[in-house]
Amino acid sequence: MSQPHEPTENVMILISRAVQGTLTDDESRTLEQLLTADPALQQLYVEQMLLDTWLNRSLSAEFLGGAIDMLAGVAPVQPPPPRRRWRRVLLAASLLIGVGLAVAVWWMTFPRSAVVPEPQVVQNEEPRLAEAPKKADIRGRILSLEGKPLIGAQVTALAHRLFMPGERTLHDQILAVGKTDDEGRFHLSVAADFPTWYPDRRVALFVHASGEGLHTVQVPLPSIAVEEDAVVDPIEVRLSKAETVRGRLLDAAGKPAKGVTLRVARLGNVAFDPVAAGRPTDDLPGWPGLVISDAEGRFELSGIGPSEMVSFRVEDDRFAPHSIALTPGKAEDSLRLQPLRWIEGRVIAADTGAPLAGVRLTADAVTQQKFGVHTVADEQVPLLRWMTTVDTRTDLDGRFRIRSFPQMSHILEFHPPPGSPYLAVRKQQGPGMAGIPNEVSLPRGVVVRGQMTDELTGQPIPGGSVFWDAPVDGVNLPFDPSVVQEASGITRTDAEGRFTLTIPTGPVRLQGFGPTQEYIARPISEWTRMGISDRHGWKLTPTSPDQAIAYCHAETFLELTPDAPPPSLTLSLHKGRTVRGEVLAADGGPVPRAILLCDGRVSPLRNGWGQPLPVERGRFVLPGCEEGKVYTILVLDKYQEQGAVAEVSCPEDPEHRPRIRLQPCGKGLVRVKPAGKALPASIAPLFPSMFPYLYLRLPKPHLPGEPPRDPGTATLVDDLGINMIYTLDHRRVDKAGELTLSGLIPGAEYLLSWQIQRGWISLPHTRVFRVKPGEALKLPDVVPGLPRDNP
Amino acid sequence: MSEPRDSEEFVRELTRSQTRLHGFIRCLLPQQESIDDILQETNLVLWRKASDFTPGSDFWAWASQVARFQVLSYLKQRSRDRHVFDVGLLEHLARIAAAQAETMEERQAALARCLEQLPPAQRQLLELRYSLHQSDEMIGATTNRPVNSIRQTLYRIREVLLRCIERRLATEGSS
Repeated sequence: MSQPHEPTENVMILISRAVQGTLTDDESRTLEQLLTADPALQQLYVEQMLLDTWLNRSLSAEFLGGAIDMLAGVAPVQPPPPRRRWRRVLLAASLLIGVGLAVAVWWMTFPRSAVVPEPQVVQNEEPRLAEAPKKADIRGRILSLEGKPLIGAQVTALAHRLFMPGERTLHDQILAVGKTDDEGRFHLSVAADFPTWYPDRRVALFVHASGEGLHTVQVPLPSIAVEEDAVVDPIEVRLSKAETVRGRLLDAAGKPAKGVTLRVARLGNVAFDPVAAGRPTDDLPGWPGLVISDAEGRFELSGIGPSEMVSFRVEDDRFAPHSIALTPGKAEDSLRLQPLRWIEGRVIAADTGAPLAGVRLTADAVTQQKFGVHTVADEQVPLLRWMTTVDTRTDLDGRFRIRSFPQMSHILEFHPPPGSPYLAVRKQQGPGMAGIPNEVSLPRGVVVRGQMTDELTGQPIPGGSVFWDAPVDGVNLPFDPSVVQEASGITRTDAEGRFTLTIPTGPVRLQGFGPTQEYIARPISEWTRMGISDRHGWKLTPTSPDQAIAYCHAETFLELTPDAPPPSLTLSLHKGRTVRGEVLAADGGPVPRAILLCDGRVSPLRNGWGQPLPVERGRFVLPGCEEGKVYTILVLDKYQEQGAVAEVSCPEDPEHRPRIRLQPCGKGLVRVKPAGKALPASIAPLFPSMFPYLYLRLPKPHLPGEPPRDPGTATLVDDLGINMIYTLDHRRVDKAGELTLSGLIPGAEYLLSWQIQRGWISLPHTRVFRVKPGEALKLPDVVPGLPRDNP
Repeated sequence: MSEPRDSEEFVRELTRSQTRLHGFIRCLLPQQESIDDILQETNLVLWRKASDFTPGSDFWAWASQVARFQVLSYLKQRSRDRHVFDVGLLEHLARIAAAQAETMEERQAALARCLEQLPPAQRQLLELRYSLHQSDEMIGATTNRPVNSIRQTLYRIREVLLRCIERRLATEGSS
């Protein structure tokens, strides 16, 4: 061991990168020079590398898991050895089992004594991580086209990354990597409680086998609220014959676009862009490399599973950053490319004019490509319809340069690094070169720091979300209206429950959301103007629980001035109780997968509006309940078209756990007649204003023996993402102009709402109805009107 | 290929040396390429020359020399594509690594004690890195911290553990 030798931070980072195996050639040269010049550093370097190896062996779950697998008769995940060496391998394997077992036993039984002074890491802001991450074991088997076990196939588990403001979303996070053994089996251990914005956790498996093509599989993980030990049903994947996707690129004049570089941004269930914000991310072995169009503008990618749609992004200095999605086995699809337009500029501080470096910048453009987010009901609901996002960061001089489209409007967002005293802003930019900002100035705000804690225990809450909002009355804005607020400026609490947020001076509210739905939701207060001052006089007034439509888990009011020191904030969340029960299908069997809706279960990304919860394996969990209240829950199994409305009490009676039996869904049949004429089929996407919107009422909790004092929150079914048939693109009338509203939960209250235009006045109409189990309810005609039809 | 004189002891020694061989090879290949392949090649060479092994002799000294040779031979081919350390530096590193890895078992036992004494926050950071195999970038994203801060913290935690191991070995050696 060397004498104490404190390397510089850069050297530490360099050695850490060597330890992680991510050194570039340049870094390798630098490290070589440093090591050659300093023998003491050689010693440190070797010690770090060796310790990393030992830690890998000691702490690796796979190492212990591998020994256990071998004992259980599962072969280690290695290609089979040549037959003539089997005896030696067997002997070696048995010794490995011995070593593995010894390590396992030693690890579990080692005496916990402390003789040597306790080691401490000297660092100021060392995070205290929450309880050890829960794990989920994903096991399965990969079979070839012929049904034979596929040996040595690489299986990678990925999850949707927790994207933050100013980041592009098309990049999944690698959770675990493994290979199939000689029986085609794989075993991946992933963190079951990885952070997610979604109500359920799902993992996409990326299967890469030489000569078998690329395949993806989606695996829902059991909710950690349902099961502490997440057990995933074994997965068997039989690969299908690999196909080829083909496309053709033309320039604006219709001539073949030769030598255009395309990058695969998405393949089936996996979005994996190897470059985010101009910086390389982790490698995903097997992910297709760059594709280049030939002299005819044609390009193709072979070895793709037949059900995996491939999205390519154009990366070429001549053309705009188009995206094109191609389906394997289909005829060649062509795309006419627009010329590239660079948006260039500089980001500066509004108060000093100094350049701001490291500002994340995204540009959203309307293109032909559509990406969405999955919902708890397995729907792909487009959040940013027909949008493409590109991103970058400003350099040391605050300059940025970003690819864009010449003929399209862009929404640009500028997000300074966390902890910066400057506020994020959003700028809209028209098509063409007009309006390109040479300099974008970010207004100064105040950096506030706080902690999210549990009200009862005082324990910090990691993984929570916080954002701010300020009153807007359309006339007297207390701050620059381009400043980004609400969910677009969300931040998360760290391992200590701490958060940092930059807010404007003047009246501001912070809203806090716990990492799960376990916390009691409180109605979001209303901004009320108490005085006539431009900037002051705004207060928050409580919203009656009966009137609430949006919720958070904690809120606090602030009115800071530029000179006053920001206070230290605490957002206290109150953990509620959890009610559990069963969900049975109409025939009495368990329901494998459904959704549950209940007032007050909300998402921070939706600014505190309703969020469906998953029902898994015939069980439901309703967290965040207040003792002594009765909750109305709505359950929908959209696959079997069954649903139910039920009431559950908190606390539950453990002897008589709630059991909800689903019944067949009903239908609503409505004729849509603009100006007295039935609509032609498939017209909905063209004339959205002519179509009625469907709302679902989520009743409020009430006291036992008392009816609810309010009918509840009417939530747009489109927004809940519970069934794709309700989204506008999928709504269709038949030849008679009749619209079928299927999958309606029996007993739930629905509202059909549409507008009738009288001159310049738009008159809202609403029809309230419920369906009985299996009922096809004929609703009165809806007669919306276009302005020209209703003079 | 010839049978070793005492195949059971040979396999035991070979098995015992796997972790230290892996670590030894890694020290010479910071870009982590083909480490498993080189380890496998080393094992094959050792197995082919098993008859040269005399029970009771210094297996590690022999095995580390074979591994060193395998790495150098690999780097000769690889240096055309990527930067590799100078041979002189590699020889220095190999000497240090071979000496360090020689006492691996004692160090690993001490490491277990030191891990037990690590504060939960640091222990859990190590679990993210080594049990869940999260990259520094992923840990940074999970804990909402800059990736370089994660790298420094992990470096310092390893440094603390190394000092703890050294203290333990010194205490146990003197008692």
